[in-house]
Amino acid sequence: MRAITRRAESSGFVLIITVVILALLTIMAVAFLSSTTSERATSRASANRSKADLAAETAVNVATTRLVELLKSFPDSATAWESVTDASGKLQYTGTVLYYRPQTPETLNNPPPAAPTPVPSLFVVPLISGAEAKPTPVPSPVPDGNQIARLSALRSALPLLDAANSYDVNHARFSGDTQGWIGAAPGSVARPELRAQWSNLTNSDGKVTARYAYWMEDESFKANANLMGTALRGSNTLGDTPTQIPMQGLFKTALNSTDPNTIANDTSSLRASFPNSLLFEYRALNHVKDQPTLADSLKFVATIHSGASNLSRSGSKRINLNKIVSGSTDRAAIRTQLDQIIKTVTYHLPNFGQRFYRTAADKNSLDVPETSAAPHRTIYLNKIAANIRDYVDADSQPTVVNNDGDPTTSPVKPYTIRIGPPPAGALWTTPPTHPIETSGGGTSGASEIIAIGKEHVPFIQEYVLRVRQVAFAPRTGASASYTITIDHYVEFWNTSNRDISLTELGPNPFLLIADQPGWDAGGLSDIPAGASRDIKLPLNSARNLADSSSLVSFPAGSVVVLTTDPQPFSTPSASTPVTGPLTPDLTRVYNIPVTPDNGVTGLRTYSGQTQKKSGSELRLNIITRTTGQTDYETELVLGNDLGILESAWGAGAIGSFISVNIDNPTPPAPAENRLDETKYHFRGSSLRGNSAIPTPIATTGDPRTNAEQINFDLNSGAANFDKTRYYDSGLDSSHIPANSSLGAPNLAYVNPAVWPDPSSSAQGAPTAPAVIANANLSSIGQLGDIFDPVRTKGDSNNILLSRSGGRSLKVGQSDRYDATTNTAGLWDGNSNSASREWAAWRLADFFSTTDLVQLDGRININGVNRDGGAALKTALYGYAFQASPDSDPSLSTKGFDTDPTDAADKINELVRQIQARLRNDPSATAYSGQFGSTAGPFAERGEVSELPLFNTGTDLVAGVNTATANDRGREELFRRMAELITTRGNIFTVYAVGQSLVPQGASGSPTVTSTSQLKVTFRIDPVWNAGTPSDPTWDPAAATRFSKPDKYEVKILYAGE
Amino acid sequence: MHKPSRQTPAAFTLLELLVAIAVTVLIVVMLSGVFTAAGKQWQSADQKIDSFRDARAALQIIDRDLGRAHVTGDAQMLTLSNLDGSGSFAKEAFAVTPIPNSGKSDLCVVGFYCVWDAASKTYSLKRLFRDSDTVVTSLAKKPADFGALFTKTAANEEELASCAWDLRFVPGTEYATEAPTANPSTKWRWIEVRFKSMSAAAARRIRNMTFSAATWEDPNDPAYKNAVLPYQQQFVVRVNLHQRP
Repeated sequence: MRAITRRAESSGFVLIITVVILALLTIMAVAFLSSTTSERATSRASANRSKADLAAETAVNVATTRLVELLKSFPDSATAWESVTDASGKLQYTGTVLYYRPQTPETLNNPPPAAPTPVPSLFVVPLISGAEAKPTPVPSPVPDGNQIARLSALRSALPLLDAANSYDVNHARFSGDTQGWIGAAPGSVARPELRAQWSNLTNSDGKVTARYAYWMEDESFKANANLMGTALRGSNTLGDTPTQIPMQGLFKTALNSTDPNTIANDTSSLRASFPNSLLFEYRALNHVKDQPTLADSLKFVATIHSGASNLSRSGSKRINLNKIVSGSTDRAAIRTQLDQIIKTVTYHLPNFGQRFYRTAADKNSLDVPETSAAPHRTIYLNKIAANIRDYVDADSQPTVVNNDGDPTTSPVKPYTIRIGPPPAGALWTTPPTHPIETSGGGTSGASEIIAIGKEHVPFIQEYVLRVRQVAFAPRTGASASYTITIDHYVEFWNTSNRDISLTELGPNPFLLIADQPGWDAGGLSDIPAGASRDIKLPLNSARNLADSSSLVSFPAGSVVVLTTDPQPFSTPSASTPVTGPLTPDLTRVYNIPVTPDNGVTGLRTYSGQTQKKSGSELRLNIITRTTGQTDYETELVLGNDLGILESAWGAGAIGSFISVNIDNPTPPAPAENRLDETKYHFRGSSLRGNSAIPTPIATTGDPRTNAEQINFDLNSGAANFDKTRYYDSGLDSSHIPANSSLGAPNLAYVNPAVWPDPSSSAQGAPTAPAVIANANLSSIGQLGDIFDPVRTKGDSNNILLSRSGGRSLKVGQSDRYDATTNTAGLWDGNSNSASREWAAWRLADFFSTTDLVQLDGRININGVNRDGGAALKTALYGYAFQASPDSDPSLSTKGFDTDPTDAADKINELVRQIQARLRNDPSATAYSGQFGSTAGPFAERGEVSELPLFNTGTDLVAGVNTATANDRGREELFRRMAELITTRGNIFTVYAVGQSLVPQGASGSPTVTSTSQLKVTFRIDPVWNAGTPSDPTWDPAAATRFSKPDKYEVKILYAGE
Repeated sequence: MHKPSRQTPAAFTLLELLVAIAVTVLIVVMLSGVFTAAGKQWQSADQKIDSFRDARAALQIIDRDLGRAHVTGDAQMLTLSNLDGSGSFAKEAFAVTPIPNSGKSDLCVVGFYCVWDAASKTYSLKRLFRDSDTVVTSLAKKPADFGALFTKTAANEEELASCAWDLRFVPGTEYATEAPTANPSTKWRWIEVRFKSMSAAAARRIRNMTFSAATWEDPNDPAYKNAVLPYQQQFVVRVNLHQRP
C-alpha cells in the first residue's frame, strides 16, 4: 500500500508540474488571445472606418470624374432641377439633371447644310449614383406637352431608388430635423427625400464589402451669400454683376422676413469682418447677429460658392466684345475688328447671315447662296459687325466698309475700310465718277460701300428743296431773264437718348450737298448739274434762326434742321405768322449762310435768260437724267475730315422731268423778304423706304435700322409714298408741304403696329428710339440695342430703297414669328428649324462682356422649380425699371418686384412662366402654345427672350403692355438680368455616403459596420492646353480661339461632413 | 498457501530522481527561456501595437483635419510653423478646418505639435482644438487674429500619442517636397507628416535615465542609441489637401 502511495505521490509531482506549466501556458495564451482580440477589434473598427471613408471618397471621385467627362465630351449642356413621378403618380426622383446634346450647333451646321438639319437628341442624366444617360426621342423635345417625352427619358435614366437599393442623402440628422443634410425648399413642412442608388464595392472573392451613393447638385441653383450686396435693385442697380443682387431678397423670399434690411446689413457686416471680406464657410451665417440658425434655415437656397464658366454652347470661351472693339483710324485694325466679330458669328452660327433675307413665308429656307454679285450674307455680317463696333467704340465716327471685296474668291478678297476723305472718283469728289450707291443698290450695281455703322450721329430724315423767284424781267421774249434762289433744308434726327455734341462729330464737321440737280432754262442759261454746284456747309457756322446761337448739339430724340435759307418759311406779314410744324419752333432751325466769307463754297442764287416759260410765269425744269448718267444724283453727306458720318442720295429725275412754275410779277426788294409773294415752291422729300406705305415696306420699314445710303426722290409725285411733295395751289401757300414732317419726327416713317414707338409724336430723350452706348458693354443684353439691317426678301418694290427692315436685334424680346404678335420675328419657334440659327438672341451665347473665364454668382434659371424661384427672385428683388431716358417712359421707375411673396407681383409671373416652360406643363394654360417646341431646359441665357413676358401682348408691369413699350423698355428686364443668370453652373456639391459592410449570405442583407459621409463642393475649370484662348489668329481651323477645353480641372472648394 | 512475496516497492532510485529533477529543471529552464523570450517578444509586440495604435489614430486624425483644411481665400488658414534650422520642415501645423462641434458653425481650429514633459522625460504629440465660435470671433477681427487661434494652450490640448517626437511637416505643390516657406498654403497639394513614436512601457524606462529634450533630437547621442533606437517606430503619411489649386 505504501509503495502504491509512494508511486502515486511521485506521479502527482509530475502532474503538478505539468498542470503548472499548462496553467502558465494557458494564462499566457488567454492573455495573448485577449490582447489580440482586443487589438483585432480595434483594428477592425479602424479598418471599417477607413473603408467607409474610402467608399465616400470613391463616391466623390466617381461623381466628379463622371461629370467632368460628360462636360468635356458634351459642352452643349445644361443643368436643371427636375421632379418626376412614376406611373402611379408617386414621386420618383427629385434632383439635378444634366441635359446635353451630342453635337454642338457649330458642328451640326458647319459647313452649312443644303437643308435644315434636325437638332440631335437631347440626352438626360440624373446626377446621382446609378443613373444612366438616356436620349429623348427625335425630334426632341416633342412639341406636344402632354407627351412629355423628355421626362419619360428621364424616368428611364433613373436607377431603382427604393429603400433597399438607395439611400436618402437628405436624411434627418436628428429627431425632428426638417432640413436634413441638403435642406428643404422655402415653406416646406418636411425635408424631401433625395435618394441615390447604392453602388457596391466587392473584394477579390466577389463579396460586397463596401458601398457608396452620391447625390450631386449645381450650386448655381442658389443665391451666393458671398457676393450679394445690400442695395436694392431699384432703378439704378443695373445688375451687371452678382454683387448687385440684394441679400434682402433672399431673406424676404426664403424666410419671409419682416425686416430683411436688418439681417442683410448684419450679414454684410459679418462678412466684411472676415479675411478678404468673404464668408469662409457657409454655416458662418449662423453667426449673424441674433440669427443663430440663419445658415441652417437657408441652406437649400443659399451658398457661398456658385458660378458658371464663360463658355458658349460649343464649349469655347465666349468672345469679349469689349476687347475686340477699340477706337482706331487704322483701316487694317478696323477690318480686323470686324473680321473677328464676323468670324465669331459664322463659327458658331454658320447660317446666321441667312437672317438678312428672311420673310415670314420662308423663315427656314437656306436658299440664298453667296455670289460675287450678291454676297448678301457677307454684306449683312459686315453691317452687323460695323453696328456692333460703332455701338461699343467711344467715338462717333461710323465704320464705313467699301464695296470692293468678294467673299466667293479664294482667297477671299476683303472689303476694305474707308477712312478719311473719299477716294478719287467718289461722288462727293470732283469730278465724280460713280455714286456712293447706284440705283442698283447693294445687289445689282457697283455700290461704293456696303455698310456704314450705326453711330451716335444725327440721321438725315427729310430733305426739302426750295426754289424762289427773285426777279423775272423781262418776262417774255427771247431775252426773258430770271433770278432765282435755290435753298436746301436738311432735317436731322438724333434718334438716340443722348445729346450729340458738335465736338462728338469729329474734326470739322460739315454738310455737303453734292451734285445738285440741274435746271433747264430752255438751253439759254441752264443751271448745270453736277459737282460744279456742290455746296459744303461747315456746321460750326450754323446759327439758330430764333436766337442766333451757335449749333452746339443735336438734342437727344429731337430734330434739327439745317438750311441754306436765311429766312425760311418767312411770314407773309409780320403780323400774320404762319403756322405749321416748323414755324412754331424755329429754335430747331439753323442757317448756314452760303457766303464765301463763311467758308462756304457754292452758290444759292442764279440768274440768266430762259425760254422755259408758262405763259407769263417762270418755269424751270429739273434736268432729267437717264439711267446711264451717274452725275445727277444729288448726295447729302454729313461728314468730317475723317470721312462720312451720314449720307443720303437722291435719284434725281429719271425718265421724266419735273417743273417749277413761279409767278411773282412784282417782287420788291430785298429779294429775300418780299411780302407780296403768293407762292413759294418746294420740293419736299421724305426719305422713302421709311414710310408707312402699303405692304410690304410698311411692315418692315424703319428709319433707324442702319446708317446705310438711303434714297430720296425729287421726282415722284405718288402721294402715298410720302417721298415727294409738290406744293401747289390748293395747299397753304406758306407752309411746308402737307404730310411733311420737317421739324418733327415723322409719324409716317414708323408703322406703329410693328414698331411701336412714341417718338413719332414727341421729341426728347425719353422718347428717343435708339441707344448708342459708345462705351463698353456692361451687359450682353445690350446687343438688343444693336441696329439690325435685316431686310425683306421678295419685296415687289425696290427693297434697295428701304433703309431696311429690322429695328434692332431682338435680344431680350421674342424673335419668334407670330402672325399677330410678332410679325417681325424671324424664327418659326421650332427648336429643330433652320431659322433657330438666326434668332438674334443666339448672339448672347458666344459673345461676352468680359474676358473672365470664371463668372461667380450666376444663378441658374433652370433651377426655379427647385426653390420656387427663390434665387431668381432674390436677383430681382426690388427691381424697378430704369429712370428715363434709359427706360421706356411708360415703364420708368415702375416696380417689377415689390414683394416676391405676393403672387400677383410680376416677378412671380416671370417665375411662373419659366417654371411652365421648364416643365413643359400642359396645365399651364396661361402660356399654352407660347413655348412651341422649345419647352424644356434653357440651353442658353438668350433663350429667355422667348418668354411670353417679353412678347407683345403681355404686361411688363401693370397696365404697360410690351406692345406699347419701346425697344429698350421691353428689353430692359433681360438686359438687367443677363449678367446674373446662366443655364449651367460649374460649381457643384456632391453629397457622398460610404458604408463598410460585412457580407452575409446570398439572401441576407449585409451588416453595416461603419458609415461615413462626405460633402465636397468643387469647381470645374476649363483648361486649354495652349492656355486660355487669346491668340490673334481667328481662323477656326488653326486657332484654339473657338476650341472647346482640352480638359477640365477640379478644384475643391470645401470638404466636410 | 502462497505467501505473498515481499516485493520491494517500485521507486525511483536516487539516480533516477536526480536525472528526473535535472531533466525537469532543464525543461523548466528551457521553457522559462522560451517563455521569457516569448514574453519579451510579446511585450515588444504589445508595445509596438500600442505604439501603432496610437500612431494610427493620430495619423487618421491628422489626415482628416489637415486634409480638409479650409485654405480658400487665405493662406494662413493652414499654417506650418516652428521651422527647423534648415527651414526644410516645420514642427508644428495649425489649420482652420470643418469639424462637427458644439459651436454654431463648422470651422474649428486644430493644431499638431509635440510637447516636452519633464516628468516623463518624453515628448508627446498634442492636438489643439478650438471650436467654431472661437474661430469666428478671431477671424472676424481686422485683421484676423490667427495668432490667438493658433496659440498653444494646455486647456485646449488633447494627447494623441504619449511618446512621440521628431514631428515634421513638409508640404509639396508637385511631386517633390519643398520648404514650407516656398509657397503659400493655398498652393500646396499635400503635406507629408512624419513622427517617431515608442510605446509607453519603453518610455517608462527612460524616466530613470539621464535624458533631456535635446537627447531626443540627437539620434547620435549614446543614450538615444541605447534607450530609444531599439524601440522607436517612424510613421509617415502624405495628407492630400482637398482644397488645392
